[in-house]
Amino acid sequence: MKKLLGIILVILLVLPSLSLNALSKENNNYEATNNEPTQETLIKKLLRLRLNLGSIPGLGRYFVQQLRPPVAIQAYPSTVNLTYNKKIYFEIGGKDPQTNEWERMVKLAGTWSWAWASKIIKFSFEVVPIDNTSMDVWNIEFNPELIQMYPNRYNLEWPGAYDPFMTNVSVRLKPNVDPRIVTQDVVLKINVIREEISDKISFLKGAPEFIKKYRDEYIQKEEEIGGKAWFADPSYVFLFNLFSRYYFFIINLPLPYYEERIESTVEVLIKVDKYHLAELKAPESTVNIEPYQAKSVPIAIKNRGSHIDTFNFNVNCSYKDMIVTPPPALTIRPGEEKEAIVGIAAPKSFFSADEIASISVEAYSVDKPKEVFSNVITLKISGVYATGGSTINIGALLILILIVLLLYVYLSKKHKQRMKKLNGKQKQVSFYDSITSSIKSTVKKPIKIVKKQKKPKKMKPKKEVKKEKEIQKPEKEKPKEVKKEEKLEKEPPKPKLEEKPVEEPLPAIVKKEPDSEELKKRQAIQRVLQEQKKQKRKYKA
Amino acid sequence: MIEKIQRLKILIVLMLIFSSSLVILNSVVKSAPLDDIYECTPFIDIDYNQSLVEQPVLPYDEPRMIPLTVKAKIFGSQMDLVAEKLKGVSLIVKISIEDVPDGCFASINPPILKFNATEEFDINYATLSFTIDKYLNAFSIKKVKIVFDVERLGKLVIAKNYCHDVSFIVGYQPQLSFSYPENNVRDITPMDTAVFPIEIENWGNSVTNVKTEVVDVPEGWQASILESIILNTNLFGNETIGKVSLKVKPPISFGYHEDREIIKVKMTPTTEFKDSEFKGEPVFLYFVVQSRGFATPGFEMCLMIFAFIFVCFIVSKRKTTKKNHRGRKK
Repeated sequence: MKKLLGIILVILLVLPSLSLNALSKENNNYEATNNEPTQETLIKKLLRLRLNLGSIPGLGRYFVQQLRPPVAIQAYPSTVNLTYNKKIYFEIGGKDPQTNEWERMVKLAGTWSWAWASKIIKFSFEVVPIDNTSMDVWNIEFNPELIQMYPNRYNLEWPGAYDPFMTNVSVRLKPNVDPRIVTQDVVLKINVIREEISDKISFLKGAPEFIKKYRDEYIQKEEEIGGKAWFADPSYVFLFNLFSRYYFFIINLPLPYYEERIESTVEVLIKVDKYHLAELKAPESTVNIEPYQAKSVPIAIKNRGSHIDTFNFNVNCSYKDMIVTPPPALTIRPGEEKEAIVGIAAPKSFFSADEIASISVEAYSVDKPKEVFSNVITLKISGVYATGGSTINIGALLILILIVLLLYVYLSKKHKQRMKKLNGKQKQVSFYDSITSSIKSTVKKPIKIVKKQKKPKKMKPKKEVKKEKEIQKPEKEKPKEVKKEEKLEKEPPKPKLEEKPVEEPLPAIVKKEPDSEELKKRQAIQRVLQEQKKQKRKYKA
Repeated sequence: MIEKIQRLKILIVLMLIFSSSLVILNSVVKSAPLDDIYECTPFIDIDYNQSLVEQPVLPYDEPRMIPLTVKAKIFGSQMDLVAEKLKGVSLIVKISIEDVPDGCFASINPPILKFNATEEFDINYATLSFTIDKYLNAFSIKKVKIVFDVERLGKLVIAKNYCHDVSFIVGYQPQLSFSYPENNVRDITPMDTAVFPIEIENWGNSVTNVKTEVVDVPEGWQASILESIILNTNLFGNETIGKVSLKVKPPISFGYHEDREIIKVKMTPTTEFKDSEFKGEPVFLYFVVQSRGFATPGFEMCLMIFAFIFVCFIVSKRKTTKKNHRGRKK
């Protein structure tokens, strides 16, 4: 007995020194292994022996509490695009990385080997509130809301054990009441909560009873989920019943009867897509436009979308030849209203009586050109437009030429009339001249005067003109004027030249032959002659 | 009696020795003297395609996804023994996003990776996704900080945290807004010049040089505009609005005109960074110019003067003629 005690004491004293030596040597060994493997030393063998002798009960939380490796619970897909008022779906759960199939509930609950120690195991899901964002706009639903399993130690028919560990998540995002508040992209965090009602006393009862009846089934089921069938080994069952049940009981003793803890937190990156919505407000009343008039029509546009958006425009007009230009690109904040200007130019038309045309204005976001928001501007084209066009211009030119011609004719006529009046006076003068000459001749040859006095009835204006010419021949100073006068007298039509005032006095002269009157006339003729002489003198001067 | 007491003493001593040796060999408490020999430290490293982060990330664009290759191993004095001992036991690594720049959102999946606890690197994969939901300054370098939290593996592998930064460049997001303070329609005479003031506002995330160009100018028409205008970005609280004027001259050939044309102006936002030019999508602006009226040759004033002199000459001559006539009448 004493000897045994002595050996144990020696071992206890020697081991620490051995371990210290091993540290230094093994470090050297590690360096050596990089180049060439060395033979395992005695110390190494001892250390291996020591390591293998001791079990490692404290491998970590998963191994202590759940006795199983963890399952990565995540979202599938891990990134989703979300649009306002549209529901999106994704899944949360654990997948086997090899098969890419959903893990069974029993695996997450603790496998067939250990889950029997609990009465109920539940998994539920909870959304972690998002910072700086109102959760009122979020509508998140889980289907199923709860994944649960009811294990027992008597058989392997556990309700919910084969349920896939997954839930469908539907997310809907509503626009904020205040459109200026923009919901940004978000990392949505969902806690996977585990609830468990444990049966600690069941550990004291020893190994589960189902291994007696359903051992093969147990091994198969455990293999299916990739677990280890601990209780398939009778020696393990023996040891468990002998020692381990107490050990497990003691370990689980501090844990509460009902436990709720966050198993995992799933993160989903939600990309809030730009929600494009524009409200176009066309003028309420009809826009009046005249033919060949150009004007701009303002149209209000309000961004009812989720983000700052740049809108571009398209315009279409139902009226042929109407020129319509789209407004420029506008960048608008959510909830903000701006004015877009549509340029309109009506075509030429001589007359347009309340013709109706419509302009379709389409706005679209530069990020999503296929999504179009439109409104219609109604136009009323009415009015008269006279000018314009080569035809009209030529017509106007012709009319102008015609007017000028008419004016010329009118003025020339008027001039002629004036000239005639003037000529009439001159004719009277020339007539008097003829008379004077005849008188002169009558003084010498009285009978001839009478004869000549009868002639005026047959007298023609041409002869008078000739006489005038004879009279005016001496006036060489202004021959052009005379010629003009002659032309003017030649041009007019003949009937107009037979003027009565010239003929009227002749019968009176011819028929009436009172002495006193003749004397008076002679006196008058003499006066006229005197005047003519004076004029001639003047002209000569 | 004494013998019984001695046996009891021996039993107590044996029990103590057994329990203490059990504690030493099968340690649960940290104070075990041999624990440090076996203790290993996990090591985590990541690798990713650099070209994916070299491409600038545009604000409001689709999430940028970067596949990460995560490598894990254990190291320590007895790592080979430990690795042998831990065969079949997974090294659990929790991954999370520690820090992101303002306006940036990131997630990493899966949140847990399982590695074989070996002395050689074991490889696993994760995906980092991030978006920019704010106008960050273009071409600035931002970092997403990822934390790898390695779970303790009993007394053999200690828990440890590793941080890795994934850097990326913010892309240039041009965004302009235009307005016509005096609308975009003009009715002028051929001798006039139509002037259209245009207001341009820069909503983008960088100082923007707006290059302007009048395109498809109709024959006989003349149009001119300032070639470019530099606009600041409001990220630094500067004035972001600039003004340019488009000047349009209609044809001025002699005669009556009734011309109408649409003048098209192209505006392209650009910015420069490290001798490289980044261009945005061009924007087109339309202006309607209507020219109506007579276009004179320019020397009409001389003609007018000559005509006036001519008329005066005729009038004076006529007056003299009339005087002469009156004289003759008299």
